[in-house]
Amino acid sequence: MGLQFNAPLSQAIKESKLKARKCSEFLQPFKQRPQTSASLARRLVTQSLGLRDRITPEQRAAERKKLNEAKGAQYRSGNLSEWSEQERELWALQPMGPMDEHLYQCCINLTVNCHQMNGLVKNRRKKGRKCWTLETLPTDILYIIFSYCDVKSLVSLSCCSQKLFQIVANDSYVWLNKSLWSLVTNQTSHHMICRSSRLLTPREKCLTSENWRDGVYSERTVVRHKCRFMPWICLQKDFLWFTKGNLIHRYKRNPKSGSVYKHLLKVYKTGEDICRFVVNDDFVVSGGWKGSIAVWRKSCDKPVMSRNQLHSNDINSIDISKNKLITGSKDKLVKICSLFNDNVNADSVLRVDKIIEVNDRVLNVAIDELGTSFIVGSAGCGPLQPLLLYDIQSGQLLSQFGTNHRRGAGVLHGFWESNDEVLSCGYDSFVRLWDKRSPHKCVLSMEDPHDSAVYCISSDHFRTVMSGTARYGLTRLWDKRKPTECTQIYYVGTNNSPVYSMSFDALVACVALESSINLLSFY
Amino acid sequence: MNGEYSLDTTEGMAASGDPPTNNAVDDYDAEEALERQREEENKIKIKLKSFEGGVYECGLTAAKMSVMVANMLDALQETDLTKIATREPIPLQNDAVTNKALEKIVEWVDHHWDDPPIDPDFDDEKERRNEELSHWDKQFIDIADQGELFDIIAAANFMDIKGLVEVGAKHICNKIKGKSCTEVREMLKIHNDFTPEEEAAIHKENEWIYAKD
Repeated sequence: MGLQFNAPLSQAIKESKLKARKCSEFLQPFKQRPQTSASLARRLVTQSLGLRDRITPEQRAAERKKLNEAKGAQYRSGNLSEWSEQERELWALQPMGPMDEHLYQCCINLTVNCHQMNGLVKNRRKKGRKCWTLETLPTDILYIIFSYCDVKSLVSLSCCSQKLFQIVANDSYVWLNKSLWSLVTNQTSHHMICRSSRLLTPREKCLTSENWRDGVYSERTVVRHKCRFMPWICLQKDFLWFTKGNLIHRYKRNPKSGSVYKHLLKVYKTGEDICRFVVNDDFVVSGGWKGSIAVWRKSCDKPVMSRNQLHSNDINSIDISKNKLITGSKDKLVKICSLFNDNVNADSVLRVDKIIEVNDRVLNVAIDELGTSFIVGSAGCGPLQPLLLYDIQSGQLLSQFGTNHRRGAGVLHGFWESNDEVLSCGYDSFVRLWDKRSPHKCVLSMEDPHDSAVYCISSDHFRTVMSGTARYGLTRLWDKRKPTECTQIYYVGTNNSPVYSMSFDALVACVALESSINLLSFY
Repeated sequence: MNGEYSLDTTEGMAASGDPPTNNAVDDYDAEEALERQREEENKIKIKLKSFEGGVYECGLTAAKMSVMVANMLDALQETDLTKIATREPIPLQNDAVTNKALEKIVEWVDHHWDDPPIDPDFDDEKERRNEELSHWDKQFIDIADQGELFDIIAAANFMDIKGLVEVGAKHICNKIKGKSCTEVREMLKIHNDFTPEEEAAIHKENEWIYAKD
């Protein structure tokens, strides 16, 4: 009995302290033990040794009584006294059995947890409690309410007071969920990101998307020509490229607003008028009248390679992937060429690998993302369907898209929406989405309500499609989720001009008309 | 011999043929049994106590629409549900849970207790968000006193009753919809603490919203 078990640790000997430190995580707070007696221990020892008790029955009865009292006290007051005043109040405790106590303890822990979860641990006083207003509501409830508001309501709310402005305008959380559903501004695919002058915040996405949807924009003419052309444009992160007769112009873009600076940066010149051109990481490649083709390195002014009469007639379309070049021409041929460096002359050389006879004027070619196959869009007057899929290595026809096309339903523009999907448009006034895995039937079709031919399309490779039609500079915005109706229309320019080419990023749409290039800014 | 043989085959056929039909019936039965159990449970009344001390009675199934109350009852691990009814009222320790708010909440859960539970796997979140409020809900939530309305929303949020929070949030959003900032401020009695310069700047930034109207 020399050891003092009940002493606090601070008064313990050095060894005990050391040991306690080692097992500190298992230690329990100090607690007064109820009174006990040695009667049980004595009984066990004497019985096992076969001795006789030397305790009188009176003594034994007294010990038992003491033990029972101690037990009762533990139930009645011992544990309860450890409960805080608040916890007692919480459940208005009556005396109860040990099991009940345990269960209620669980419940109380739970309630307290709930308080903490809701961020409401701090209880305001009941007296003098201010009436709730929208501002004094806990922020988590505000978030729930805001998640049901539309974009315009949110803007109205943010103008109301400092706190709401802080929460609504500066916090992307409110906008994040909404921006996931936004049109045009969802910068998800790498195509769209490459094209966008910058990435938008969730709030900007929502607001700009609303502008696209409502048709709120400012229009500006980038250049105006004196005579009419059939321009082709290419929109990139930093630059806008477009053709003007036998020239390709390059303009710099404003990195913040996405608009185009007036200053002409660079001109690429060829001998013949250019029909189409493509820009990839290294090269600018153009195809034009009388089968002429020209290749520039992006950095230098002079063509690294140019060739006339690659085809016997105009090259309508051209595409490049790595060093494979594909040209489609009016002379009803598609040529697969390789572009490589000649070590002797330090010049680029073009070698024709394969010639494919399509038996129809070729209007469009496009190589898929992996560079293994390509689509050919023709005038729709030949024996085959107007949209075909070829293998790039062997030049073999892999499949035809659709069945029973109308004669003359030529495909004017088409490109790969994803690695398996193709988006096409043409004379039959439809924009169609095809899947190369089930080429017989189109996945989605969007019909121009005015029944005019669709000259060009552009897509964000996610859920937005824009189409440029043959008349009045009319451009349409489509949502792939509801292909039956057009989401918005934009009349670009003042003349009755076809839209020859167009491209858009999250902030601007660039539209090429016969005598001007126009920029619609939605920011 | 012959008789025994034929007996064997019929038994075999019965064993192989029965299970699929049985399963379908079981599924249906289980569903119905669950429905009946919920109905039975709702006849048991439990008591909820507001922060101000008022005690309100409410069916068990209805009360379990509050995830918080359901968790508390689960923690009791009571097998005999009728015993729950005899317990002390469950205290709701949040000052949003006023007498009035709790009364309204009990009214709401008693009306909605047999709603199908929201299943995040099958319900389209977007669709549910755009759904109009039912006529009953509209009348229920159309409360003139703004403080009381916010009390109900805050209390429902505290008790974790998703459906009611949704109703409240939708109601407020409907009220805000199509209003200009001054109108919103007036309606919700929000104090304008912007300096005139700040307000002008914000207005300029958001001009486009009102441009069309």
